[in-house]
Amino acid sequence: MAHEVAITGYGVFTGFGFGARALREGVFAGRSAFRPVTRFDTAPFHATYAAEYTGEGPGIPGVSVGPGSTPGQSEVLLACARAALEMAGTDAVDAPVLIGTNGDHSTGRRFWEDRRAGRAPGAVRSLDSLAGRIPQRIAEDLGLRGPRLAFVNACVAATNAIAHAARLIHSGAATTVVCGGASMVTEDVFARFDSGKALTQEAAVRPFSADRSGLLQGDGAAVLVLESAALAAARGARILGRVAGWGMASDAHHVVQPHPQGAGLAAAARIALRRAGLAPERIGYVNAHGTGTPLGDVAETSALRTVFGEHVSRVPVSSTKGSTGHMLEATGGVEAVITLLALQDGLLPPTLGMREPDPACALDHIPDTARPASVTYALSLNAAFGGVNAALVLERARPTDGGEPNDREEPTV
Amino acid sequence: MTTTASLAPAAAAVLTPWGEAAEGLPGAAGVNLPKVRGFVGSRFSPLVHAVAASCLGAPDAFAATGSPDAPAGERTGIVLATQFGDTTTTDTSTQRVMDGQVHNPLLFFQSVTTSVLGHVAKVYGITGPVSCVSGTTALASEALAMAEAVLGSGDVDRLLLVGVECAPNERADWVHTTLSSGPASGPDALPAGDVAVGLLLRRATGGEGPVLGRPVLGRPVPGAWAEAFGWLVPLVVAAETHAGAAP
Repeated sequence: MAHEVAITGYGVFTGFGFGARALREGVFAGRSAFRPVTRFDTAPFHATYAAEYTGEGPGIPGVSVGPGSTPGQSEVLLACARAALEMAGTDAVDAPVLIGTNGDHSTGRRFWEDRRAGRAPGAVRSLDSLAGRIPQRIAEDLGLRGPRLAFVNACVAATNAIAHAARLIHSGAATTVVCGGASMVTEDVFARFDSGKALTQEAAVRPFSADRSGLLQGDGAAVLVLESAALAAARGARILGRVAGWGMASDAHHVVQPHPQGAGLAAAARIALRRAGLAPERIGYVNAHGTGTPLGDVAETSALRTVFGEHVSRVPVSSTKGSTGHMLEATGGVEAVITLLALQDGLLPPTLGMREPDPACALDHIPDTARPASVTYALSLNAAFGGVNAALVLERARPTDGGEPNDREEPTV
Repeated sequence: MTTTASLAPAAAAVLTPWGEAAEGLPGAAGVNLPKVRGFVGSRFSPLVHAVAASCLGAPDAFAATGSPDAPAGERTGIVLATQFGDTTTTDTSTQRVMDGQVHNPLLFFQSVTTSVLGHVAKVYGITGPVSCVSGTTALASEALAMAEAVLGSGDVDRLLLVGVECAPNERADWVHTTLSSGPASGPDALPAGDVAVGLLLRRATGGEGPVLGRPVLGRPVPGAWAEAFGWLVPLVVAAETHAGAAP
């Protein structure tokens, strides 16, 4: 018997700060979180901007952050997980914990700094340089006894974690799963992207724009509580939405470049739609991967044309990376929450930085300003090096879902 | 998430590269691994590529295992499991940044675990789902369970499971020892040297040979295996079970 997959809680963090209010006052209000990097000297690099959280905007519960400081992945994820579980109204003691992360790079660096200085690596945080340690720590701190896995497949990592969580619930292998991802702006990762000429030197990312010149990194973390919709209903929990479909597919094309026609991304989207039992025309919004790179945005546009055919011109599309930056292993988790908010609020977030639409990326873009729209189903897409692609179909909460409105949820601005 | 009774290996390979420590063990190699174009300085990606190739065979032969209705590449997925991943690349990158050196773009690309899998996917035309996971607790069992879940979803007919670990560097050794409160043994131990195990898995339907249930995976193994293979022992057992059943 297949089980519907409900979303009953989330916690989220970006360069705008912690929680849905930060997203509503940032992403949905058409603001960008990019600022000159404060955490390290950018003089050796081409790029100088990132969407760092520097303490402005809603703070992270229990985590102090200011200019120049880097919040730890585990600490931020713990805050997100606590918020998500509180919103869901469950302790989920048997839940698996599935987290997209490539380890906390700031802690790996601290290990080598300690070693070079002749100090014993005393910081417990240095353990977080091991990706698998991060879900373990969250599970231990929150008393969650289920299996723990880190998803380390780069920019689809959090999407993969959510997709696997949905797969486990759908099949009955689990009833509740805590899933998401995290990535912070660190010098190590910044240097790698800069060396690959992937970062723009501008203070803006311009997804789908003719003059786009690359991506910028952003802080991000998100944790969602997914559970069997039947279980959620039985315990009177408020269902915020559903993961109606999920799909993953590979390009089989290149080590780092996307397939020019976005073949794998289109396949992932089609699998997700098929699993949701939906014709493409039922999708009312697409949260695109849209990194602002020359090749990636064209490939994604081609993928959307393949999936939606002639209908593509009537599907609103935005990339919120123009606002949040690219959050790497966290990006699919944060964007799933953004997409859920769009469904809840009836407001589609804009693409920032779009000065002149690229004819090769012609879609129904939402430039600069959020667009009101009542949407039932939305598609969220992500892609990673190696031609790995992932798609989620999210469904707005149904009128029949019931459940008491959760007064712990943050108010709409 | 930890049942594996519905999995059957269609092909398997173990690589325990050269050296005294590998003598007499499954997969001990007499020669260095072939390089993978575009990947430098680390044995992680060559290990992954070599063990995948050992499992999948020649690309043409692999393609021939499919059918017009179920092309081999389209109906195959990949799950890669590793505790520490490519520590050579990761820590070389970190130390270059600390030294103020210009970063090597090749290290950027190969620092991402999916890059070498993109290479494997291209060679074999694999367009199914690709996942990479890390864990500190019973990773082999969790990886097998994940393989079972992916196969059970119906998205693919076969799944290439790769377990891989490079000889621990100083950071990996310190993290692992600290987490284990001492040198770890058992299902979460790190192998002493480089190890990769590949299993091409399909769902068991009956009559196809060995099935990877707990009695098979939990069987007694030679004492040297625990040190040599660490957390990958159950995957080595699965691979050897397949090899023992092969004609």
